[in-house]
Amino acid sequence: MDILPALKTGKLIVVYAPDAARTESMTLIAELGLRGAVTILDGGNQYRPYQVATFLRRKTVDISTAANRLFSRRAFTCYEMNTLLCSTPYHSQPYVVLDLLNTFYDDHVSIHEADRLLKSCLGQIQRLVLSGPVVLTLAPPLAEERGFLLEQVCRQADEVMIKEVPVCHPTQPSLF
Amino acid sequence: MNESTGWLLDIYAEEDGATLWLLTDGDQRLRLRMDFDITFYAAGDFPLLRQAWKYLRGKNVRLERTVRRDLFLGERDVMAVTTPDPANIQKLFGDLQRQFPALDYYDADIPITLRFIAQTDMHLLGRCRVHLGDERVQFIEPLSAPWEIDPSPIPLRILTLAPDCNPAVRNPQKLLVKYNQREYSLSLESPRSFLISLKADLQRIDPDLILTDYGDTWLFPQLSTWSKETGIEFRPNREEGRQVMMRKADSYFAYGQVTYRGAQAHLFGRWHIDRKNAMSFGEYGLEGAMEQARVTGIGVQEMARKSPGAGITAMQMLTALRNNIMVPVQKQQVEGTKTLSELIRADHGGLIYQPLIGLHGNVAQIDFSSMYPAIMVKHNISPETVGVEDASEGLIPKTLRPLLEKRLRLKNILIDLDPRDCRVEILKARASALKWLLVVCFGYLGYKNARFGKIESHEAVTAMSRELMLQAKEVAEDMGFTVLHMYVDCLFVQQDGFHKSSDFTPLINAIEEKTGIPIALEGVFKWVAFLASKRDARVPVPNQYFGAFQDGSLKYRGIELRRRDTTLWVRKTQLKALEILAHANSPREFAGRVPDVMRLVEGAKRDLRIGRVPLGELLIRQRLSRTLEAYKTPSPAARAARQLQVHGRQFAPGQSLEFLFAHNESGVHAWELEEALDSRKLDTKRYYRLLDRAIQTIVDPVRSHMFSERLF
Repeated sequence: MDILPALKTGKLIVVYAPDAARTESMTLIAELGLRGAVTILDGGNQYRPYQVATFLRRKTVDISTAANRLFSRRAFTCYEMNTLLCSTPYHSQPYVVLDLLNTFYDDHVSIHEADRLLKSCLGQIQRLVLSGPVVLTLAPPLAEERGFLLEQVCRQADEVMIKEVPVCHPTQPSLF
Repeated sequence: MNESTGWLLDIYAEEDGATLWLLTDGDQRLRLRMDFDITFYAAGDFPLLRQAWKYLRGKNVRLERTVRRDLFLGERDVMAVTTPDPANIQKLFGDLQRQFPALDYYDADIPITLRFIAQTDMHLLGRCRVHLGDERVQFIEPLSAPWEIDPSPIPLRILTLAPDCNPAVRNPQKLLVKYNQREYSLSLESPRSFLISLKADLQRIDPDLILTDYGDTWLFPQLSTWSKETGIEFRPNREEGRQVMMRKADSYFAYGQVTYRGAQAHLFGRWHIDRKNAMSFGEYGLEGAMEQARVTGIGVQEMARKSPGAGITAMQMLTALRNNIMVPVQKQQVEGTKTLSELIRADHGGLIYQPLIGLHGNVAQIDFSSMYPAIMVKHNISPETVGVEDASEGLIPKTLRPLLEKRLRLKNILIDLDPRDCRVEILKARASALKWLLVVCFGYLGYKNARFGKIESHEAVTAMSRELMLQAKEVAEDMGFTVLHMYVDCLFVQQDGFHKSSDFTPLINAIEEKTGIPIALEGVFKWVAFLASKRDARVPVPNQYFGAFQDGSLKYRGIELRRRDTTLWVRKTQLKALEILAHANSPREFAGRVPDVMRLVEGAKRDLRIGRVPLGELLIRQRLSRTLEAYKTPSPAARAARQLQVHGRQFAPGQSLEFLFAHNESGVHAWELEEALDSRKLDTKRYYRLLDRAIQTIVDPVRSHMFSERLF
């Protein structure tokens, strides 16, 4: 899955995968970090700094320059995610929002409240799209009744990339 | 005006104020009424606030514009909503929030006990003097403080009720009743006569506490059913006219695992505690639950069922109320921006210095006492003070300081007491209850649902702890000690010729002086074994060790004995093996005891083979991590649950169940099944393997020791 060529200011890209495209998003962040500043908003504790650092090390000897261009913040509730997006300033740089819906799937938050907060978040995301490309990664909901949240986000996207789960065919183990 | 003195037992909300229950010095139980207005706040955009004001104008509330302090945002213009009807505040707030979800709400979901305590300076179970006028409390005067080390004991009447078997397994035939020294049983054969007898007992004894087994999940629901069937009114509350408050069972995810919480039955005017459904009751019992209620302000029957985290949250709310800080319904403070380099530097846990694998002689274990809370208090770490120069004492240190001091004082008293002293058990339970509150307070700095948490303060505590551990290590090494292992807040040190407790006193003093955090000697091991990974013998495993102190007592961490899913038979045998090894006075003697251990193991296996081990000792207890349908490859617990599901039992994630390994289609036999397992079908080989693994854990360290001896 190559997300990088699809990035363009004014474009909202959604990447959907069972694991919220954890590996692909880390690769994307590192690739973007090599080119310039990136804002990372993590909604599902998905950001793996060591994985990104390892990737950067493979590509450059000047890791610190790239590392100092990756700006991240984490949200642990959907209220925090809303506050995070509202307080993210405009920059002419890419924004990567990791596992946006994770906190919205929390069954301690009523569906009505999750819906309200998501609408507010999507409004903020539309604001950010005007200044730089935005990539959202999404994972499937834990309960079907929250599936409409996923649909709401995908409806707003300019492009939805779906990561296919590789099908494992049974193979006979080697005998010798 | 009347006056009464006694202990405050219970508080709850009514439509026209609050009801208090007082246990008087004259052994009376007084129900007292008190006017009690409740205020909550709404903040946000003024046009929206104006709409909310219009919405509330017609309701039975008092509205006011005022300025209150948010811990992070400072002074805010807010709308204060005051109601004289505490019983309906949740409905009022719920309606308002649904109409105006975009407003920020404060103080809307604070339990009435906390409001009462903050307003009156009383505490639950505390002594007080109450002045009555027109049958209502006019004034209440506290006569004790929650931080007293030796609170005056409450003369509680405790009635214990327990069925003769686990109702989930088979239908109980009798209910065992215990009051004072008297014990008897009530037959359950006829619900009518049973209800009449129990009702009479309740009236006669008038207990303050009904302590049950399976009261939440079986007794009270069953009593309600029988009451409807027989037409005999049964109201176990002391408060007339109130029904038992039932709460539904639920499953939740906490501390990395799914936990099941059974249904709950709460009483009014007296307490009900189900020993089988109270989270930490087994750990510190009634004394501990009462101690937590005293300091947190959460009622005893609530606190016995709740996690210590709920207790810490309540304490933080109390501190906030007392300091005129509003308590947000939803925390919205978010993490500040960090670069990748900053995140890598900051986002760490406690310091672990891998152990030196193998057996070591004359090793001292020294522990920082309540290290994380002590750091928070000493270095003023609180969500609002992190990164602020010369900040005044933060909300978290302010909350923790008295708690920390009380626990240290209790610990010091325990050190000085003779172990046979009758106060020891009570003090231990109280110290343990306080310890659990202190243990969770650190996690609540970073917990997503904590009202006053912020991830940076969480990171600051671990950063400080790592620094202090490194300072301690440097001090130890400067004094000639070898540091064998460090784990978050404890160090294992050794030096040739040092084997008495007093030998380590200068080191303890030096570390305490350097770090400013109290540190204590846990003990000096005659020998201690640090274990290697079972997958790779070259890799050490932190915090997995066992050892014998000089008085012969054992300490073990991370081995089978500590695991909840280890069978009693394996645990008993492993403990006996350790007791044999504890006779060794040095690592050299340890090897000499191994043949005795192997003889013990052979004996245990022989007992199992010839059926001398009771099946109850072979039970495996495991927890279901998901619904049964969600298992693709069912675990043994899931297979056992499916056996019971056929018989109509329902299971929720987080529920535990017991089973035996057996030679049958599913490989397990659920213990709750009606038909008992034929002992010939027991999978003895599977149990042998479990025992061998447990014994291997404790004899493995000797291998390297024996091998190194052969070199010379």
